[in-house]
Amino acid sequence: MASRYIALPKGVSEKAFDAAVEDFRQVLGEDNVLTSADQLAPYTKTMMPVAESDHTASAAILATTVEQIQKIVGICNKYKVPVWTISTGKNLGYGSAAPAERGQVVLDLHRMNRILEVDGDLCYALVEPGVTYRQLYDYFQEHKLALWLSVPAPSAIAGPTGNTLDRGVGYTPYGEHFMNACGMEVVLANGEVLRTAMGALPKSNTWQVFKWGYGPYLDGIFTQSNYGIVTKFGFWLQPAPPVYKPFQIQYQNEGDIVEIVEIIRPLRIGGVIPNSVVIAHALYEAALKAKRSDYVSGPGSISDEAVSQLIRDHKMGLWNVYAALYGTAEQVDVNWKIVTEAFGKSGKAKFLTEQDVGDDPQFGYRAALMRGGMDLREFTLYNWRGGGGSLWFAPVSQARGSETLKQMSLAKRILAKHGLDYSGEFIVGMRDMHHILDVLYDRTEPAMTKAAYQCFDELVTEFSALGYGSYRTNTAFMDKVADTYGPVQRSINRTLKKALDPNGILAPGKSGIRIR
Amino acid sequence: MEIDRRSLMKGMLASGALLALGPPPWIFADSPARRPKHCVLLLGGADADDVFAYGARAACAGRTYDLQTVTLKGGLLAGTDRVSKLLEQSRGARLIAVMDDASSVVFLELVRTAGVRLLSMGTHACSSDSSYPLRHAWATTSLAHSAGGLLALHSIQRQGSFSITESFLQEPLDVRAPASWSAPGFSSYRSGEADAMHIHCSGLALSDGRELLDAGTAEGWTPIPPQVCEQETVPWRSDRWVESVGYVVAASALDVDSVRESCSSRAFVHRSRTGERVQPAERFVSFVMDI
Repeated sequence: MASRYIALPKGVSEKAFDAAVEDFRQVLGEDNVLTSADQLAPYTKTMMPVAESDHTASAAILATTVEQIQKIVGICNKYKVPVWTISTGKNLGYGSAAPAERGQVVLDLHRMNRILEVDGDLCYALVEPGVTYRQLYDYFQEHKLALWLSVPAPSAIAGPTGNTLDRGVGYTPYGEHFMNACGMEVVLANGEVLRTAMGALPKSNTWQVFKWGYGPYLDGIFTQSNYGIVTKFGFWLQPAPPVYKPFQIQYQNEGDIVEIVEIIRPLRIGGVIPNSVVIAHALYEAALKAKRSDYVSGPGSISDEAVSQLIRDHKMGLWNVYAALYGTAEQVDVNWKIVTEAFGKSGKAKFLTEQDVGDDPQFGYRAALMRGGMDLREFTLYNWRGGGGSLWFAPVSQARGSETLKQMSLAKRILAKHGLDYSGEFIVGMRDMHHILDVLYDRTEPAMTKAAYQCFDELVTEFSALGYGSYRTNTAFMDKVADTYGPVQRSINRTLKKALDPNGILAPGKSGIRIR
Repeated sequence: MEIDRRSLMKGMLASGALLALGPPPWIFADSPARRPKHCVLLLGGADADDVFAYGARAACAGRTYDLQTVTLKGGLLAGTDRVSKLLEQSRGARLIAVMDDASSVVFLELVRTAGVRLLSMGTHACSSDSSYPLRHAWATTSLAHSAGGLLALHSIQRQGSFSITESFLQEPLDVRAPASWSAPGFSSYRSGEADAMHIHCSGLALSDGRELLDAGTAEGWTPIPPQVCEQETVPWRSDRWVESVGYVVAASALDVDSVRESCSSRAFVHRSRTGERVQPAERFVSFVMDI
């Protein structure tokens, strides 16, 4: 006899799960407990090269209040049912909304979407987890607030809580999102509600302005982890600058990236360029202008010659540097002079500003993201190879030119071995760089899907052997990446997990953390 | 300050749409026999839009369903508002959609947020970087919404190799029913595992089919005896593969009966013996859902 559920939590009988589902319905109402296949199908789709049955949810439950979540964790403890919490669930290429392990119940908080406070003077917001960037963007427009967001590539459809808790980044001066987080409310596995730092004082009005509070700073343990369910989230906002000047600098040779990074580093650390600088390879943005099939036929990765032809045909740089200046007209003028002088010395750089490019989509979407605008066109890269396969590989390095070529040649070699293209970009923080690679593959092609898995596995292995750790990964590789950080870190994470969630009900497997 | 206008507006719009359309027939029941009152065809800006639509309309011809077509100029990545509104305002409709790969990723996110019931999602490709130029991979909620068998019959009419895979999220409710699909030229096999897979091979041996699909071990496969097989019929044909996909996706959306095999996944693989027909590269994603 087939089960009435499309999956069951590991170690939970159907009878026990029936009882848990009934209890969930008592708390949330019939319509907010989803168990049928067609309701759960949108929670199951991933872009990873593993069977979707490995990440099939047993149910999805939609909560709207803290009190409901407190009751839900009580039910989960009673029946030992694990929940995988999502805010908006837009973790594209990292697992989307699907749980880490088959049978986990997705706790979907997208309807918990109240903007609780926006302070235009102190420039902060306090939101519930389901609030999207688009909601905030519309709110600022409606209330004529001169505030800017910092958004990741999924911009409009994603939200600040989930993105920051997974330590995502944006492209404005506030682009290191966790650095700009300030205050959380967290439902713990035992049902208690913690307000971090200044939020612990009942009459405090400093929860969203002073991060540290008193004693250990706890907010960090609720990011990329499974120690609690964040139900309120505070973060800082950038005041809209009087002048915004986005620009692009094109370089035509692979080796030029050494020069690019050496020029950028002092400008970033010195504060001349205030936002994270993106150095995008042509293939990262090629799908905005071309089809892969115009340049490649047959299996294997694209050749360097074909890439050269592509950038000639579409007037792209092989490397495309994107940054912006923000401030008064005087500040921007002075900094623009410093930037152009620094990049102009070698004679290799080609500068492009809004006046030069018209409605060029490549420049257009970058310019929108660097001001916290709503623009989804970065995802055009999913049309480059096509077939719905995407795995983000995100190793971190020092912001040094020498690191870039070393990382790029290693990545290209591994990708080419598996017949895959290098679609990557470097994002220069202050002293660090995130090397972001999208391993694009065609899921209609089983051999390529298998190759993508092996390729990603090899990327993690080889990069970590050289000391390059990933700052984030997809749900199929969380244990592997956790292993690269060593047994002591894994042990401490497990110790914390046992202390805070002794039944292991909260997102087991997240970042490789479980009670056993 | 507590702000929840967006939810309020959503609720007002949804209830307005319900008043306008009447309650959808499946809103209170969870029966696989739900039938839509009307269908919406959403063309999301993929190159395949027009040809797909020809096929979809052919499947709807002569039926009682009203097929309303919505075209998304500029694609979904240029802005999501129109699709979000369409999902809010079309409650009670069955939606057939076609998108490029990039838009499909964002579309699925909007669909989940809107609480839509997703019946099937198919990824379709014609490309030169595979030994099987035509490939279709479906994730389907249940056997009731499968389209692979019908597409296999359409595809076999044309020159060229193809592969079609379907995985079903819902296990067959009655595992005792031994039904299986068959067609002339195909040999059919069943894996012996609990969640059975069926493979239908034409022009190649089971071992080659398995290897192509990366499907399990060599052991445990048994031929499916012809007496448990049923055949589908092809009432309409096209020389264009995209049009055929449009036809079978719409046919599955309209609950045209197909052979419902007792399996959790199945594949149809055909290797052409007469060489490949050169066709332009094309990729898109299809959806069927109840809004």
